[in-house]
Amino acid sequence: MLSAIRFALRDLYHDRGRTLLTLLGLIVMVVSYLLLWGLAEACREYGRWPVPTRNLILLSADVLDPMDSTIGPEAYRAVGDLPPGQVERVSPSIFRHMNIAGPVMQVRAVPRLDMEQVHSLTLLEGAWPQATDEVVATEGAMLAAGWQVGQHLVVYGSDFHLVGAVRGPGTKYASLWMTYEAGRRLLGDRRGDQMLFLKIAEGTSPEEVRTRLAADARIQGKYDVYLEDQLAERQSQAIRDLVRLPTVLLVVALLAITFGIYNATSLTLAERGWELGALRVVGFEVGVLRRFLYVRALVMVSAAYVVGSLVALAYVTEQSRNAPIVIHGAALLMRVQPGAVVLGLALTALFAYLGVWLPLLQQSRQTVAQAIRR
Amino acid sequence: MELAAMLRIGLDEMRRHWKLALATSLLMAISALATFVLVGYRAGLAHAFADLGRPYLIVQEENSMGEFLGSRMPMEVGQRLLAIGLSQVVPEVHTLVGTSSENAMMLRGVDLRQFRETESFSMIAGRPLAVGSLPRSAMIGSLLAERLQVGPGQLLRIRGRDFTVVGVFETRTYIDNEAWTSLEDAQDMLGWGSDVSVFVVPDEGRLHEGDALPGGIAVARRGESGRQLSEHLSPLVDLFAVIARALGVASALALGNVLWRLAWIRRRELAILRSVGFQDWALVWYLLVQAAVITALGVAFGALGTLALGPVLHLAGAGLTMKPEFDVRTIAIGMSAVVAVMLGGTILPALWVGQMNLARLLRVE
Repeated sequence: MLSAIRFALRDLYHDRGRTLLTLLGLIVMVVSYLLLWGLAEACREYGRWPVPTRNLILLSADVLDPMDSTIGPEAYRAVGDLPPGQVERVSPSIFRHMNIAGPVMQVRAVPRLDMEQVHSLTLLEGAWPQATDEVVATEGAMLAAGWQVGQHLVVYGSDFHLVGAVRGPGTKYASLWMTYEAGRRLLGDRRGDQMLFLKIAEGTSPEEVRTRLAADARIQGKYDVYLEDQLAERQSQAIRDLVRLPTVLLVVALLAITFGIYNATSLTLAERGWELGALRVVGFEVGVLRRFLYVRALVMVSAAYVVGSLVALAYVTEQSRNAPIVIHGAALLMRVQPGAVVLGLALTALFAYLGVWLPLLQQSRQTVAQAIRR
Repeated sequence: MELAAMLRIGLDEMRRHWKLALATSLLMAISALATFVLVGYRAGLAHAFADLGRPYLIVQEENSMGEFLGSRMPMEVGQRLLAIGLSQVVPEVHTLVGTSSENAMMLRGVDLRQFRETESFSMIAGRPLAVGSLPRSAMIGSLLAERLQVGPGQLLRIRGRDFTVVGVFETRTYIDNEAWTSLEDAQDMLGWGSDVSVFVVPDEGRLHEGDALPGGIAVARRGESGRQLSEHLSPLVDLFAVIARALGVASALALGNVLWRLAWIRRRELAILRSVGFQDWALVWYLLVQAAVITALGVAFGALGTLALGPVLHLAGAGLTMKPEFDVRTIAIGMSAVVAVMLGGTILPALWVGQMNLARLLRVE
């Protein structure tokens, strides 16, 4: 086996110009395939990030975008009538999708302390907003809009001071946060609060509270009650529906790799009919030739996958650090999946074998004299 | 004479290595398919969010995409707009209704007295809404009708209420995803009182795009929301473009490799042809005819693949249906890209053939 690899490497080096050309083509296809797989997975997983909270969310019934929701006083009364001790914190939230600086992002106004305790934000830089003209932005928003802590922003026609950068889980990836008072001052109270967050106390089942609230006559038909991760998943469905497109293209890219390697191996045989016939003259069996040619193809495929995976990894890392794809306030996070590398490699190895086996089958039917005839 | 001879030799070479030619053409087909899909989607998006009527501006809540959702203003804003001298102020409600991406629907409430002055559409079935239409009547866009399989006379459920579809309209833009009801029906259904989403006003110099009005209200060009939504999806389309181009480069490399190697196999014959007076350009024709055969097969397979994928490429979500569009221009752009791949794949072997050392090649054996 080792001698076959050594022999294959020497042969590839001997034809280095054409080896390089074939390798380049394969590497480009491998990178395309891995990126499409990463994108398809990112679409599929969009909105399904684990949300480490015990929050329930109330919003108006039959509303797809929370900004169309309005929480009325009856919802507060229903929550107030829950058995004591079940709800640790009730947090009103004003919510808008706004186009502030390029990508559409969420603008949320919540009580200052709830930013950490209910919404699981963590401060990365600067300070939390205190005054009604102060905001903090998540790292995704900072990256997408190119903001810096300390700069001034115009939101809804008013000047704000960006005082800090925070990290927000899941669908809060690209969002702008201000205090509830600042939100009321900015947007007025005509549309009221859009969401009501309930932080459920430890020892109480959020699902049990959800069921009790949903059955309340003041809530039924007027509001929907969600577990926070359910709502995030539902809101992200439209993006997950896009998964079909990258999936189709990744199958296309995988086919390109397999045809590419089939082509490369069968071309080697078409070109070297005489040399292979000569090897048969000196006693090489067709099986040995097949093994050598297969090892030669595998060496090329493996090299293409190693280099292609590294290039794809570098692209994905660079993209997620500097220019993530942000849709509706959440990032599409691509990753190079080991499963994709293994599956692609296995299928490519199979087609490389076909690329060797089919032309050699034809040659094995020839006599040695026919094989060495030019 | 030389040209005809080279064409014949090139075609003969393809016949002799037909399996190789077929495998390479399948590779080209994949590149052609990716290109057609990408170009088709780009055209579909451009068409869907095309210019919706330059003479009009939209007055909406600041930072919102009022022509889709998110803007809500009191009706009194309309009085303020009339007071500044605008000749026409047309209120509209725009929002997305539904509980999930699958059942989401874009809803528009229109002022039955004025909407036909600002909207251009053609009816493909039934009749349009008009003053005097019964309450709970709706006209729906062709894409929505196709998605829900609903037509005139049938009931359409919007936010838990049954509406009678009176007609199906077409604009050949994203608006074909919308359901239109009277302004009053929409306001009632949403519980908005007399609030509206936007006012459509003529661009007659009194307001300008980007103007800010008191109370968090802004002026935008009509169609701006569509442009923003389209930009929203552009990073994804751009990534697909990178990948389609990469597949094109890979196909060009594979084609170049095949042509180079086939020419190498025939190097002695090519050297003889040159020694009897064939010019360099004749040898380039030899390569080009092979590239053209492979590319033509590839384009045919790619086009068939794109047609076969047809329904799979229709993406629906959040009330919008997106599909690639193929017209003469789109096909011409796709074909140009494929021809560029073909020429790219021919350059390297052509350079090599041009630099062949005649004496050395004839000494091969």
